[in-house]
Amino acid sequence: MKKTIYGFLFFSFLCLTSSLQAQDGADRLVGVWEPSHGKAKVKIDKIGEKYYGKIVWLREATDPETGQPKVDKNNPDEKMRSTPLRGYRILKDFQYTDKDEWTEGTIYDPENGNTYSCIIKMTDENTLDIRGFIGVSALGRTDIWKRLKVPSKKK
Amino acid sequence: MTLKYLKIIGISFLSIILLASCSTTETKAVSISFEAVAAGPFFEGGNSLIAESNMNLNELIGDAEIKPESIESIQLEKATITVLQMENFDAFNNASLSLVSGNSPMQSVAILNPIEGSSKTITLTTSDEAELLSFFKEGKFSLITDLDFKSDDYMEQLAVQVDLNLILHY
Repeated sequence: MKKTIYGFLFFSFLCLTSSLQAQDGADRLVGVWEPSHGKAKVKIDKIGEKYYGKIVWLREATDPETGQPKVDKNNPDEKMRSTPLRGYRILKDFQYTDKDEWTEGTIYDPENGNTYSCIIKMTDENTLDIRGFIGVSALGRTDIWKRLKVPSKKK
Repeated sequence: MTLKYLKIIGISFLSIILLASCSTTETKAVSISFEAVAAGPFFEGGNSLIAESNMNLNELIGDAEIKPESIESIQLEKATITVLQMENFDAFNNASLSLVSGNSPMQSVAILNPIEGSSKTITLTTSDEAELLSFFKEGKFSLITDLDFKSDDYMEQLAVQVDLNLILHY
């Protein structure tokens, strides 16, 4: 009887620690990242159990045609075209797969209003492969994103 | 021979139109409210306030005569946001609403950009294409209210009331 109880407690402990480790692994995606083109910075946060990335900085924040902050003028939904690009969630619905990958998400390209299926792979703590595709991942394009490190305050 | 076939096609076409006109879709208007909150401080730019909901189709319909499985679509007709701890929306550039859940893709449903005037309640432009049925079928979702702050604000907490007018098609 005692062996059974100890065995159960040990098994429960193993399950708990592996779950916590998996969660820690998933949350490594959280942070501010910069695509290779350098035109924007994207902050990835967790909402519920999924991960979302929104634009927090634009190199060219103002639309030269209007003189106003850039908006989502290429959105296929006309009524949503006034959505500002700064703050726009271009990465949506990513879920961690336990292999340094986040899948089941999409990436939106405001330059053409298209949404693509997307897989994120963390190649190291500060580097992401963002692969957008239509249909199968083999038919897509990969971009390399780098983590922006927040400078620590000087004492 | 050709005339005979033309008659058959014509009668078939008229029959299809007659059948289609017989199957009409009913609608029901429903209003629901949420309180979205976030802990401060709040920094210049976008900040998200979240309201969690466990409302399912049965609760949303509120009418025993309408079966949940008969609901074909739920669309957003009107969305308003009211600030609860401030006098007006002067502190904000724009506001938007989105829904998220475990099993459905995130849906952006309404936007107001820019926020003009000085009022306690704003009415957002709603998306014609947003489909909300899956969120209520799931019965567990979050309403995200994104407010773009004009400048940093160090209040401890901010809460807003979000009122949605929905149209149920069944």
